[in-house]
Amino acid sequence: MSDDLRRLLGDASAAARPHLSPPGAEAARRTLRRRRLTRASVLAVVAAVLALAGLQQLPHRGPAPTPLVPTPVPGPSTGPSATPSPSPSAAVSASPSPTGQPRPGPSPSRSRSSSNQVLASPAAPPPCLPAVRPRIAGATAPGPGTMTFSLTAADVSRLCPGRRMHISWASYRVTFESRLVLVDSGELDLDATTRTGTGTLSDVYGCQADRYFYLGSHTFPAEIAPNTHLSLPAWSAGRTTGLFEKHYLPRDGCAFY
Amino acid sequence: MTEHRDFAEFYAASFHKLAGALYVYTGDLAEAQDVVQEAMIRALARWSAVSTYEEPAAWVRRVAWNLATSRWRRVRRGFELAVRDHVEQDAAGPEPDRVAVVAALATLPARQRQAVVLHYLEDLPIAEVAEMVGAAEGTVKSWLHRARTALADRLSDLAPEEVDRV
Repeated sequence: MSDDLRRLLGDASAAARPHLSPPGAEAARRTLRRRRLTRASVLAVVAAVLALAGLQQLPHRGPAPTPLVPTPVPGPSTGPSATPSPSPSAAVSASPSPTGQPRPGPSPSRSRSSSNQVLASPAAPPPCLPAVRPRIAGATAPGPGTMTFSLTAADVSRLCPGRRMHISWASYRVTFESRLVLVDSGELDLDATTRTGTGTLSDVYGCQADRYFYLGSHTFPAEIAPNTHLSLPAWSAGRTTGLFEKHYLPRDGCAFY
Repeated sequence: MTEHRDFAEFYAASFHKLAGALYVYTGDLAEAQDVVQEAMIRALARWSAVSTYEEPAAWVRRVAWNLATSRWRRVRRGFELAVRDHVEQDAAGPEPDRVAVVAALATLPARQRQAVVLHYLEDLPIAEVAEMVGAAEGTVKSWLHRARTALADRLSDLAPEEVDRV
């Protein structure tokens, strides 16, 4: 009869209950806190790795790796042979791994004895970045004009404290021999307190040509050989704002062509 | 009930009943406690939602049963025990004569055993058992019938009967 089976099962279940030792609701809370802390730590490390990988995608100058991140100490402009600042990988702050890594794999009921070791600290803060890419507006405006370089509040919030983005830029015109001649150049710093800077473009005789931007100090050549370009980020025509990208300003519409 | 329930109170009220049922299924007190504790942790993780359910215990029971029947979890647990060079100690448990049915149940296929415990011990209707184990009602009835027949062979004070009459 089913009643017999119910009774037998109920007896067996009831007989087991006095021998149960529940870890308790507090142990469940500690385990949950530990797991959340672990998850936050893993996410922070992944975010740091992704940020690092993203920074390494930023353009480099020439075949040799160029410093993407300027040295944090401001100073006079240096030539391209200046000692490079630390690479992004070396400059990234230490990952925010918590000190309380949980022991792997204990089952909940067996973790009671050690669960007091669990830290109740809040989730680790996200890692800061040694460099962010400034945004540019007015880069395609013909001279005379003004280009605006800026860091957004979000960029600044991700930037490591004390970091400063040093920007070098140059504007060229093209001659009737197809040489590129330097017209304007400048350098500026952006940081948490100075989030916006400008570059002045003078009136250009002839046709505008490449405009280049570089994170760090850079001395631009007075001339560029015909039909060649510098291996530096340049501005893409047709865009009025954006980030550093590797494009060239086309010469369409130039009177010499 | 929609009011916020206190997790500790819910835990105290639910743990023993659920662990007792899972002990009958697994035949292992520590394993039963583990899966119930894990289910409780998952409930706590989303307690703001689970506490508003009409029957939070039903949610926890379902999670605990899913854990108990998870093949991957069994493999992982065996691996962890092996890595730790763990030797299962016979934990203090109920007297053998009171749990003969547990030993008899252990000889049944897992799904028949699960159906028996859910239906006869947890008092779930066959339709709910079928939904929980992902089988047709007729299949569950067949499992229950076969399980009762098998148990009757092993337990002297149990006679088989048609589960449809239950």
